[in-house]
Amino acid sequence: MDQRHEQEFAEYFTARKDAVRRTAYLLCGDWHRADDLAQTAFVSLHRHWRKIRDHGALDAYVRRSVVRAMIDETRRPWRRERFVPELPDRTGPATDGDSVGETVATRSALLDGLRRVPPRQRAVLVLRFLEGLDVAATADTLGCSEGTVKSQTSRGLDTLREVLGDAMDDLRSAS
Amino acid sequence: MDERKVADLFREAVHEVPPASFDHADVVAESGRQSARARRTLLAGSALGVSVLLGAGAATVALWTGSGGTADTASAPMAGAGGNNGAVSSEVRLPSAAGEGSLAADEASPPSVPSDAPKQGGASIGQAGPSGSGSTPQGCGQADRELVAALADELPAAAGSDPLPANLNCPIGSRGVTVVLRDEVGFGEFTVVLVPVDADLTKQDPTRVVEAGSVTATARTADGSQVIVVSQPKLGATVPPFGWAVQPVADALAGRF
Repeated sequence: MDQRHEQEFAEYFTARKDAVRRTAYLLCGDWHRADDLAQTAFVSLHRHWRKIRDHGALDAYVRRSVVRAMIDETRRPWRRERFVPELPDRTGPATDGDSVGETVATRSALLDGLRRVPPRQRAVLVLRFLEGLDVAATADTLGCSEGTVKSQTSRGLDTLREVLGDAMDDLRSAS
Repeated sequence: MDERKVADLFREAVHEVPPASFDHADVVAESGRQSARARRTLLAGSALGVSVLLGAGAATVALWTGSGGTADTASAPMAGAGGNNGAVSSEVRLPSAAGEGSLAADEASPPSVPSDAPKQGGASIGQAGPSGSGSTPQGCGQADRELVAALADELPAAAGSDPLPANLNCPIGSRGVTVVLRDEVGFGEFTVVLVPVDADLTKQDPTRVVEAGSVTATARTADGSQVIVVSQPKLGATVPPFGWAVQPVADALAGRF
């Protein structure tokens, strides 16, 4: 890659690195694995930088790479996710007036809930509610129909509601 | 609460981001490694593909030449036999009229000639040996360089062919050479054997077992040795190559040794 392309990539990497890592974190629930997923996506982007004609679609390319890397990883036998009926212990309920504790508890509950959601449903939720994509853009990123995105969103939110209980009552109106 | 508030909940979950475990340099380095690995894989795959193709081609040639005596395997290449043999026949220095009469019977049958001798593994025809029964070369050893040179002088068409060990049942002490030739009507092996004067041809006669349709000739050298020239049709051909030249070549070589 020539100097100009390297400079462009470096600027894009700096601007988008943390955003991509956040997405990857919610997809896998672990910052170390999130960094692996994000790095995989950026390496793929670097290798194909010259071939990507529409640089306005870079975000979509990286999102697709991260999601595919996450789904591929969950299919590997040594990384395959196991769904269990009982979740591991998490942070206890916050005491009255303890906003920090409440925030931490909600965050932990959300991550636990996402962990119980199948990978593609999880990707739908993250793309829609963290990345802010609409149904059509989410379907395009995941390579599925808009109907699938809507149904996966509904099921994913149902799962989160079951896990989070009262903390996620407000999700009912969002599905 | 609407979707916006759900989105706030998701964003809040990743509000604090720990330092990244990789940077721009790591990405560029890994990209270079993967690109190099992809190039190596591509090269290795190409080399493997070429090897497989060559192996398959060699196996096909080996199978084809191994069953060359059968009529159906040689029938396919017969069609183009007469197309490009003008150059070969024009190289023959000996007068063609001398031998044409003796080949009238052979030429009466339709020519059965593979179109392209080298593609059929010309170098392996002589070494594959056993055509007919019991024609394993004995006594002649490797192709004799002196005979090769002399044959090329007398039959220029032989100059371009790879010399092979004589594919005849040679008496012990003999020298010989075989070349694979093709002319406008025939295809096969043209063999010259120089038998020492003390050899017992009644026990090992090189001309005893040859292909049907072969043309043979003998001539005596000044010291009493015997020059035996045999032209045999091969690979389904019914007419031997340069059959008319067998006797003149034998006479000419007898004068040189």
